[in-house]
Amino acid sequence: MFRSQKEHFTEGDFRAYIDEQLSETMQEAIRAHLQTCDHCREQVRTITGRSGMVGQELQRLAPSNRPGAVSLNSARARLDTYISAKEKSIMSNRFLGSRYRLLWTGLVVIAILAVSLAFPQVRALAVNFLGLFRVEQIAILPFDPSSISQNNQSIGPQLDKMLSDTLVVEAQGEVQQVATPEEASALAGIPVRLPEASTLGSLTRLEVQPGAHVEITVDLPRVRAIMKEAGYDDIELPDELDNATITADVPTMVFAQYGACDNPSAPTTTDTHGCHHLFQMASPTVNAPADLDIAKIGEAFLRLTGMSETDAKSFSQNVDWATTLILPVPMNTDYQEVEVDGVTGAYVGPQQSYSYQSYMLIWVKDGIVYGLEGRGSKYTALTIANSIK
Amino acid sequence: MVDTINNVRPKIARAHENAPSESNTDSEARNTADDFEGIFRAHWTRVCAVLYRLVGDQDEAEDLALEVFWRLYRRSMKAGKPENLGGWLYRVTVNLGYNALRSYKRRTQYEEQAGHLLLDHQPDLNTAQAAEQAEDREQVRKVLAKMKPRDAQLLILRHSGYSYSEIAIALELSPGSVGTLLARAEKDFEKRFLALERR
Repeated sequence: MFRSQKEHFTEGDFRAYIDEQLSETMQEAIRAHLQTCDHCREQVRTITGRSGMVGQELQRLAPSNRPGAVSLNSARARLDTYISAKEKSIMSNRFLGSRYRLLWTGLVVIAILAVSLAFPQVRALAVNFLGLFRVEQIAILPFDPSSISQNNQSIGPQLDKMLSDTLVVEAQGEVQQVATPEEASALAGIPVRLPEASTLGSLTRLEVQPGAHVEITVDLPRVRAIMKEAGYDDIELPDELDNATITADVPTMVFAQYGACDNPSAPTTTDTHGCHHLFQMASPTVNAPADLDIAKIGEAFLRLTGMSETDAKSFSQNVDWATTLILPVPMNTDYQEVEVDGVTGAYVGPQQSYSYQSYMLIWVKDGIVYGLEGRGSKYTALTIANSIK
Repeated sequence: MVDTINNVRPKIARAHENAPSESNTDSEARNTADDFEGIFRAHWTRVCAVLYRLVGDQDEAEDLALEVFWRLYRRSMKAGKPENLGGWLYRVTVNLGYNALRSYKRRTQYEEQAGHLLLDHQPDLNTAQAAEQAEDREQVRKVLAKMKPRDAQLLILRHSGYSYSEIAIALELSPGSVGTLLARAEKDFEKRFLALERR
């Protein structure tokens, strides 16, 4: 033991020595040293006294007869209650969708909700649409879901209430099953095009889904209050938005299904079969008061996706909000612009390649918005999309 | 010191032996649940005792203990049992307890109640004495609240009977530094305590 040879010990050594928390060798070395060192003995005495005093004071805090202590079993029962209450609050937080709901709020504010209502497949991928007065092109907006504020447990119900107070959706007709693309074209009023790839399974469903008219009157103070509660009080919404009535018309949509989709979670063994959905519709249109600063609202929406103020500003100024469909895509997905059907579209898929792969393609051609989603690789998706006639 | 923090495993095993035999499925979830049960039974009382020292109120201590075990539960659901369970458990315990200690107002209120409670249970003690005891405890907690969190936590753990190695694990210190830090913390406590007395 070097230190015993040097005959020098620290205060910490002595403190541990008093508590007998050192190795036996070390304890012994200090004991021996103390025999010969008056100064050290004095030091140990001081430390012991102080430690005793502190211990005495802290002992006052010790549980005495603890009249209120509960038994282990009833404590366990209390813990069960506590855990289930906590889990419940986490669940409701998750499913009322604080994160995605908030993105949604942004969308409602600009009345694009209509589009996601009409595209259930799209909505399923947590994709939302923005600011399309008439869609002519698509831009991908990667966002980091984890950057979306989470301190908004309580806004779910408020949001529901606000929507039910201010949003009116009128569906125009019923879903109709049709037999041929010609029939679909006649009902939907667009030239329906279908894929002819040999790799595709058979057409198992063709239906025409009704369009909708959506109207929302913005209660700006309420929107601001909700955003504030959700921790977005630094995001500005233009004053003109208050009481503005925004309408969206979502046209009739044609929906085609290929392959065996009854068990959508079953993995496909090859790329050649499986389940694919194609939907197509004329571009939805959105009407808003002319004095509304769409770039400003778009900017607010971008901030909701976690973008910094500077980035949102520059993005917003460089995008034509009146014609561009913004596709927010979580960062941890694989997304890219692709050439499809003779135009530039967007591909979204899972980042890692699993045996179960899914894809989504969205593009706009001749005023018609197309969406294709299903199981398979990007290659499969493009093959199918490019075979559309 | 009856148990050591590192002895969690054998304790769980014992808790299992004592548990009424249930129909056993071999599922993982079942094991996790059994594990949790054992850990709860082994540590609940000690966790409560540490928290009681910090907050001075049985109900408050138990509420905090519920939070400690909820965090353990959630953690083990997500990431499995923490690697050094005992260290993790007592780290969370002293952190929560110390934060509660620092929320000063409520504590004063508790101490008053505690004084009354003591009177109810020890009727031979006169009011003045009970009040004095409550005041003394209040004094100690006041000093702890002013100290550096780690120092205060160190004192609480040590003077609750935890060994240096247990403290090192719980507070993430090197075992060799506990003596030095403890000596320093006691000096600081003494200084602050005497300053308070003199006023």
